[in-house]
Amino acid sequence: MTDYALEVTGLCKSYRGFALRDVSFRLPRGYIMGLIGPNGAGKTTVIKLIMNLVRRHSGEVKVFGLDNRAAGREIRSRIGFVYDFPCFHEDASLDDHRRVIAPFYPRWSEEAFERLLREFELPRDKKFKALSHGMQTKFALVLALSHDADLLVLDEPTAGLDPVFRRELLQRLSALLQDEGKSVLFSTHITTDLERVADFVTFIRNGEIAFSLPKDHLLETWGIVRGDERAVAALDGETRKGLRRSPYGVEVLTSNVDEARRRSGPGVVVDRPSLEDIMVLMTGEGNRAR
Amino acid sequence: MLGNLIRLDLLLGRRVLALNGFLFTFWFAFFLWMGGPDVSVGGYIVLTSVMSVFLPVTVIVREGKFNAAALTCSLPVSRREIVRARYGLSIGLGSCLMVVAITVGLLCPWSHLAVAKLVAPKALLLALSMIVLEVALLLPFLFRFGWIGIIVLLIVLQLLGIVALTLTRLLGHGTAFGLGIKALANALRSLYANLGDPIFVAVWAAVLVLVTFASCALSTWLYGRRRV
Repeated sequence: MTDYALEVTGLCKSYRGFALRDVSFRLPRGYIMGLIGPNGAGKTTVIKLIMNLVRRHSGEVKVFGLDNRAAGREIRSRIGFVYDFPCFHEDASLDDHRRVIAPFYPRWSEEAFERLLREFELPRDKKFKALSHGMQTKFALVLALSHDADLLVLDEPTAGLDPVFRRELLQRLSALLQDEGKSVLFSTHITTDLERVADFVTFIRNGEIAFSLPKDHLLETWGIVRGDERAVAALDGETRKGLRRSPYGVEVLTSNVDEARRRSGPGVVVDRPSLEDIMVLMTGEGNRAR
Repeated sequence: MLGNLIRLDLLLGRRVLALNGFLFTFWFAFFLWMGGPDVSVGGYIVLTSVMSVFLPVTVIVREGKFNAAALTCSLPVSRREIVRARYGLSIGLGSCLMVVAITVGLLCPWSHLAVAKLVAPKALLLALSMIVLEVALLLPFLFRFGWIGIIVLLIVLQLLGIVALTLTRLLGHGTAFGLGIKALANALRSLYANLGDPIFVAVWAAVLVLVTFASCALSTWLYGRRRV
């Protein structure tokens, strides 16, 4: 039986002008899942619902098999969380934050905190408001990584970070999984980050899950077919996941690249898609009903 | 966990706490100087208790200023615990500042307050009662609406005061507002007078505990539904 770090089932939440409908996905223990989607698709709402920062209308969220409402305190002690905006007291120093946050976590490691501060070049006596946006994100990561969390929930952790540190962070996340069997859920717009480290990709669009699949399966079986309207007309079926028209022809995203090769007419080009291609094509025109 | 939560608010808000504590202490002394011999012990306690309760409020509202509610709520604590800790913090800090207010009343050279009356159990019980009642009134607004809730509440109370004074001036003391204010003043006087009676004190203490529990339950319900 698969051991899941996170199970989200039939999650619903509605605000004025936005609704999250029937969101379901599962993250096996020891893996990294990337949550992608356009702005306003509902990524942050899903993460807030997992952290129980907002109340769900229906559905279920289980973390390590425990309901996130009933066992909220126990679950949160095992989660390292990075919010999508800085939520620290701006006139308090980094060390002040450590002094008040550390006592809440039974597995807090002073040694890990000190080491990460040094590695991320963060001055412990500096006030939070004196840090740049990138440094503020780094500090949030230091706190999330200092209490031996079993699940990291990171909302846009790489936004505002320079490419060198971004890559370093992703390597650190991968190493964390290899060494200790932890799990990571992170939302991002930067899909190249996911291509480097994610095992699973969940795509959310207009408050609904478009797919939640292993990344390798996605990159191996999905494809982009480029050609004129007539040549790609035969690809109008269940496997067609997205379409984009441009002055140079039509691009069709398919979830079965082999079938697409057989069915499409002459003069088409079939490519492997990147995650960015998938996101762009699935968010573009003609994809509302799919 | 409650201790850790109180420590979090105190440590992260210690600068504003020190600054406002100093300002409020200065205000107590200023009030005694301005009022001179007209300041009664009961009046001094009621007014300083209002200021005292605003000290913890100034610490708690900082969470809204920095969007730090998400930090507190993502810690391994329940919202019920957060609410309870803040009731404890408010009553504790408010009581500490009341002690400062009474000390100012005792030591200030221009104070005309009778020492024996100011440190009498009756006066101390009135101070504690006022702190508990004011905390029970303010915190549900704070938990539901943040610092905006407190500002709106203060504006509404100010407007009610202006309306009441205007109506009393225009229509005499027989209006509902005039009678309401008289009834409130009489209730406070009667409370102060009866606080010497042990049976009344016991019943009153039970009322205060009930009011605090009811307010705390309401705040928990409101805070549980708040988006952070």
